[in-house]
Amino acid sequence: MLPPEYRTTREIGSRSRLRMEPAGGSMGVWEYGRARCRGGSGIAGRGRSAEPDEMLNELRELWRYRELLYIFVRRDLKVRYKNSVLGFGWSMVNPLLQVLTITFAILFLMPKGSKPENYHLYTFCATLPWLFFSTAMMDSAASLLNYHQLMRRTYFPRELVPLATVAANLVHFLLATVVFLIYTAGNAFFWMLFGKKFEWSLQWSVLLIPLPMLGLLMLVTGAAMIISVWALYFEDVRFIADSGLKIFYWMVPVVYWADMILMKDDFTWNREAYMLYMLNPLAAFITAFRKLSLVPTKMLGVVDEKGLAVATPPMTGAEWGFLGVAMLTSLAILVLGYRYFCTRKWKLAERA
Amino acid sequence: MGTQPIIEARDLHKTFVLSLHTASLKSRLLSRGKHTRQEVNALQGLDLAIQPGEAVALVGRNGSGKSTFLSLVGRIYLPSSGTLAVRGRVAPLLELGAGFHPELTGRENIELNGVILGLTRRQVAERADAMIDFAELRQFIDAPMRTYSSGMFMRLGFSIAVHTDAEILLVDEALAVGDEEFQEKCFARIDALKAEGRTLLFVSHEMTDVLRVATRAVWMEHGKVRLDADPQTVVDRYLAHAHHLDTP
Repeated sequence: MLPPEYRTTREIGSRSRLRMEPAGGSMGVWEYGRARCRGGSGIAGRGRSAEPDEMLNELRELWRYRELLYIFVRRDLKVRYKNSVLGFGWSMVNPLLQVLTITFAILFLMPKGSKPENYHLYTFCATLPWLFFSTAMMDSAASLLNYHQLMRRTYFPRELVPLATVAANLVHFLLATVVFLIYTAGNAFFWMLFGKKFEWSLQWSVLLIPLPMLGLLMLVTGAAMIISVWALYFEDVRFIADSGLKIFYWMVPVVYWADMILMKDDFTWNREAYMLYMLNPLAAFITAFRKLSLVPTKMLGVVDEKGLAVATPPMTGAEWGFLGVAMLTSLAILVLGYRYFCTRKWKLAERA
Repeated sequence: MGTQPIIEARDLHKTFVLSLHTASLKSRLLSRGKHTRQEVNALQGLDLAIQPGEAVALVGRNGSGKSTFLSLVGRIYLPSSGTLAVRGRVAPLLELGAGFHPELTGRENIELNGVILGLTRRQVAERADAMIDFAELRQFIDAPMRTYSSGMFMRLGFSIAVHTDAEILLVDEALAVGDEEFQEKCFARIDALKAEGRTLLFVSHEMTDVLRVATRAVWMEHGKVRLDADPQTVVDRYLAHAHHLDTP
């Protein structure tokens, strides 16, 4: 018979605190302190987060378990790529097919003058950070459930679970970025075969993409900390996240450009709409990722009065500003997400 | 640390809250304000001090809090109140091989479990051979663990746990695994660990195991200690009590 379900998050009036023994605190020496009541309402840890010194202790403990993090990540990647001939290759086939399908549809449907050159490169480029975000969200929503058997039997810092999930996806993201760079180069050579002059779509600022990547990593980690806990208590969270991501996909510039909001001339509030749009950290990261790596898009066969090709603007000062705001937002989400996780982590194993 | 107990529990309480609902938002919203929760007091003021080198058996009926106490020592849960000090590294064998992943090979799982139990990767690499030999699994060690039998699972789990450096071993009802011959090997290994001065805390319903391994036995009832004495006394009294319950 299955054990009855334990639900203890909000019900227990007092909450015990873990205290590491000071001086000479060799690994594995610990003492549980006397339970301390938090607030009169009997709600454990809700609305309050751990104090700074506690946070430092959590981080120190996490550092001691870094080898386990490595092993969890490796295990995750091994299991993901195992039992298939192509392994990593298979996981690239799906996004590539998707990108090529969208490209075909867009180029076929769009009227003359609205066909962007090398549309597939721009879409592929933006798909990578999007895939990192969305897969990491879905994986972390399932992560604590996957590790639940292990958590009920052994101790390790619980945050390793969402962290390992994010890290495995990060490795995948980095590998996919390499594939993208090779793909871009291949594209240039491909068109050369058809007599076009060699045009390298990458620009030097591609060296700056670690910046939006770092921001994205903070965002994803913070969000994973929160969603993994919620998903453990409510199975609905996974379905809500799945549907939510499908809508969110259209709220970030993957198949279109954020500049198109600015360029709309039949709309009064386009500057305000654009600002609001770019306050979404993911939109700012994807925009930066794309504009830093690829040259401005040209519209095929469209020239302005000076006879120059009409193109999307390159990374502007405003977009750097939005990138900065997005980095700060993501840092805040990371800190809040980790604090939230820490207030809940001792209850995770009790949910049977 | 001198004569300081290696495990020291004072007035330890642990309350679980059972929810009678499934984990969905709908039932959560529908049940708002209704009493659908039930508290279970697994530990109700446990006082117990265990000295380094002791082999302590916990006996008692199901639901008396034995496994909960083991889990608290293994840092799976936090106590609801009271204090618990554990002054050493712990290797939990709460369920042998819990951390095994069926898609990975035995060797890969050794690394995973060894590190969970507090070894470094280098230490695991150094001891892997000893672990494999002890488990008698050399010819299967590079096969995925989904191909293993349950006996092989348990043998490998036991072998990893007894090759760690933990000062405290926690065992929940799997003191010896496998066939007769392998069980003998398990007991011999446990004796060796005891001789090294490791502390053993185990739960067992097998009174012969208790008498064979334990240096001290604790009979738990309703989340408290009912009797704490030498194994023979505890087993006699416990069995007499159980027998009495059978024939009212």
